Amino acid sequence: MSTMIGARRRRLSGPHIRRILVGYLFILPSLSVLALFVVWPIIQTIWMSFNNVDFLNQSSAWVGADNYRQLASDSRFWNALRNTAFYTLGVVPIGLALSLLAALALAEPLRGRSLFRAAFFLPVVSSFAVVAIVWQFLLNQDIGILAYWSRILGLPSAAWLNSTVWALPAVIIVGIWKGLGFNMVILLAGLMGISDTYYEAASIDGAGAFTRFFQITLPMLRPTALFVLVMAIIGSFQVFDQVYVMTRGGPLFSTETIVTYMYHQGFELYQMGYASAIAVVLFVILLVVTFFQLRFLRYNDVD
Amino acid sequence: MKSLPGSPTARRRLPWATGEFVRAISAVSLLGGVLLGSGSLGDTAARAATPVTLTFWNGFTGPDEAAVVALVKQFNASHADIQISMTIEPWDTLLQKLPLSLRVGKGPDISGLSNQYVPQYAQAGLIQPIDSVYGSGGIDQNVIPNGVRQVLQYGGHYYAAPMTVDPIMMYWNKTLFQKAGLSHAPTTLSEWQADAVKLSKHANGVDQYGLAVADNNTIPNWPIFIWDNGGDIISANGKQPLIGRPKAVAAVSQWANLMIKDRISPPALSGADDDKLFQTGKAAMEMTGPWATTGFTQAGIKYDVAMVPKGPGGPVTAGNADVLVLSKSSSNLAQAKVFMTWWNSKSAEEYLAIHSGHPPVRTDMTNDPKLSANPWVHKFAVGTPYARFYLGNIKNYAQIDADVITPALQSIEFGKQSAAAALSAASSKMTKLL
Amino acid sequence: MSTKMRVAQPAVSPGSTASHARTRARKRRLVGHILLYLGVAIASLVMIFPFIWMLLTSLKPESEVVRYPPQIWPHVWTLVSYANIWSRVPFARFFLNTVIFAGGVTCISLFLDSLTAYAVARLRFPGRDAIFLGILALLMVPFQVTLVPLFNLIFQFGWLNTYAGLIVPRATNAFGIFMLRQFFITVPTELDEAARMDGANEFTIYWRIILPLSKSALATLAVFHFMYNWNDFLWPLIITTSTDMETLPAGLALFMGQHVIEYSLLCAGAALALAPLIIAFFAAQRYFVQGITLGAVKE
Repeated sequence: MSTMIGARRRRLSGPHIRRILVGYLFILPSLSVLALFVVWPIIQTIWMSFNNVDFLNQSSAWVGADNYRQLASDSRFWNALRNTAFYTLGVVPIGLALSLLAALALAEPLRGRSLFRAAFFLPVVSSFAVVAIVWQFLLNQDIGILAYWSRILGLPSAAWLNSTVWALPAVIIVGIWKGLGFNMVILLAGLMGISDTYYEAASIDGAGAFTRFFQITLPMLRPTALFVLVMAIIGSFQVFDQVYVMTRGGPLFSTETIVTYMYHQGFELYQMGYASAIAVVLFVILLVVTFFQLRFLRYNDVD
Repeated sequence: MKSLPGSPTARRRLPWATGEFVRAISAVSLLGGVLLGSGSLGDTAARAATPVTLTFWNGFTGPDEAAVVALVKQFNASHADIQISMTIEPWDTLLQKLPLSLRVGKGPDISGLSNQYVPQYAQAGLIQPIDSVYGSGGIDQNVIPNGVRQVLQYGGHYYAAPMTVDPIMMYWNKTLFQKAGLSHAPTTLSEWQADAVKLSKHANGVDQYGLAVADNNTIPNWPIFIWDNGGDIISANGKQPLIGRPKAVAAVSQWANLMIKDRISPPALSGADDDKLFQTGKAAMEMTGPWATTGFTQAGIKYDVAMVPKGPGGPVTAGNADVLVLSKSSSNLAQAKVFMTWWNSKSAEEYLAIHSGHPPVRTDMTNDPKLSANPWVHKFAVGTPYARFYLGNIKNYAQIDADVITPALQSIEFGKQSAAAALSAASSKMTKLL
Repeated sequence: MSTKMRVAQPAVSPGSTASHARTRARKRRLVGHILLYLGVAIASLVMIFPFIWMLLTSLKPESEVVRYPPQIWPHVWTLVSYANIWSRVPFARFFLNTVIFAGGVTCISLFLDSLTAYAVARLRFPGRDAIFLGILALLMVPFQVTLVPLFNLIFQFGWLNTYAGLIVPRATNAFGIFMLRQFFITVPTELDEAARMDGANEFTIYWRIILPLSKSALATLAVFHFMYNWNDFLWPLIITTSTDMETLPAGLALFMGQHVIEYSLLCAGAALALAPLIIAFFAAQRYFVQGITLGAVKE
């Protein structure tokens, strides 16, 4: 009883109010920038989604939920959504598993591990456009070097980027390749943050390697792993650059994703209102997906 | 709310243009702005009283860049009172930036654009009519080919001046022809189709394509097939789709069959991939523009360039015109006239032709001896008078091409639909968009 | 220090079986080590294969690039592409602009992101979690649509074609805040409790305690920010309206023609553009060290 009263008294005390104010002060600079340059444009985007906005004319006319109604019956949008979902299902689980493996491997004291880490990180560090152009050339089924080698080795080769069946898998592979180092580096940073004393204590208690991994590493890695998972899914759903450069969404829309379709509507057909509606739908999807991830993986807890 | 000159009426402006609201918020981020300073080292507007500086944006990246940069330097050197400040960036970003910048008055004076954008930009009030450029002391209309002249206009006024005009010609690989026992390039439609089949080999790990056909990111190939057969894509007045008519369907059907059964070409090729096939000697014939000659020559291919083989509707080929337009908000019409006229002068076109391979636009340069410095220029100039412009003057170009026609063609190429079915579906979609 | 692979030492006792067991264990470790090494080496090779291709292509003459049969190894070795870049494009100017842009954003963003992340991770104030989730939500809107309103906003400020217009909108970043927050919540609270009891204010705790402990995360984020903005193509190109304010990616794009891509030039330019990033990565490796040990906390 007395503790509760004491608690209330503590909440209203000077240092406490000061601490609350400090909290707000700390976040003020970031929030201002975000509010002005991120939130405000997003609000305008949401507003645009309820209008027929012509990008060329920069004119608008209110149409209410018409854009959304049109989206619901737009088969090309659903195709893009499907492709995006496939892409995410392809890139995220495989990519994250490989990243974790790589992070664990490169946390070990190997000779020259700096070089290996750099090798994994190199795809991340290069610009999307250049990388996509290089891959386009390498994957060319007639004159690309990969097709050439597989022909020599007697392996079957697909038409990759010119095939309605294999274009999306090709894009997925490039996506995994490009993102692996990124996630690996973050997981590495997280691994490095796990204090040695935990492992020492476990060793003394006689715990084996697997036990240590599942009882210490994974749980302590959880906040980092959650971050990586959430970002990977958000990033996959928003994939644009490599698809746009490698295939432009083709052939026959087999690699068209939500954002490439959005780009097409907004900047090539000048329908900014419709494009904004697509963006809002994507936003809602990601909100829901992330919400469930955070809930499931209990983002506030640290073991 | 501010309204900009030339804006269309009866439509609301967007509310974020409200100055007061923005100013209220900007107080918060003022600290950041002050700390970093808004100084720019890139203020290009000349403050000097004498020369007028015109800004010029275009998308001539890649090998063309050097020639275009050199030409602008020449102009600046020879015109003390007019200076051109040019920025080159890829077409994609240029087309994203232009409407935004033009609307707020931060756009260029002159832009280089593909002719397909002229109707839209004119209608949106982003560019101004330049009839006076074709008046006295300006460009002579009579030396511009008919087909080109049409796409420079909109609503009865001139809105654009030619920058480069490229016809498609047929490249053929002499070595591969010889190996197949063919002595010359085909000159008729039936010869063409027969040769394409003869030159396609797919056995023993060897892949050779008779005629590599591109259907995206290039000057359109398929319309050439349609026109050559006497068909058309759209009526002359731009109101009726003709792509579902028998002649067009027959043309597409024939060539698609060759692609699927005889594998004369891989499906869904981009222009760049198409060029690469020819450059590596894997395609015996290809239809593309003059930009490819340098690469082919350097690769050691023995080739020549010929006019597209003549069918019932020929001789015909497709062309693309990149044109110069003047922003609505620019007040430098007189200076722009000087620049545009100079760009279309014989000497400038000579330089451009010799150094970049783009054939001259002018019809009075066919016998110009200086042009032989680049052996391909004359050959391409042959095609310019026959060049037709795919969906020229159509406002909904992007939508019709990207959303209706190209998908229809691709589904035919992949054998997913018959030509008749796909094209008639495309036709009905087009009716709604025209 | 190896943590995972350390096998608990069996109790040592004199006798041949025990020493044999130790030798076997050592051999197992060695084999495991070699296998790991091999696996990592092969995987690394796969990862960097396209870059090997790029590097070798940059050392070929342009005419050799598109050939059949394709050959990775150059017939003719030449540095002509590296030389030509400088005359084709104002590379030095682009380099400078990119350093200012990426460097500026990284420094400012590191500070603001960590400040905010610290508050959201360690301080308590009403609405904290809602604000954090709100920041997170900002990541979910694709950038391209917000381009139009953002452009108009920058224009309103008169910041088109200026460093301010490039940097300020990027001065803080939801991604950075999220990442650092996740890291900060793993740092044990004993240290700041102790410091608070000693009378230290929040900023001191943030600056003197939390930041030094988070070196690996901060180094990682620094590399990310630097690299992301260094390679950013769309944003600088949209905001700049004259060539002398453009950044490196815009320069590289000049080698990508509409119809013809100049591969050798492009690869040479890309290699030069990559170099600073690789250097930054190696520099950041120094901070990839183990975190604190609990022994630092006085009981």
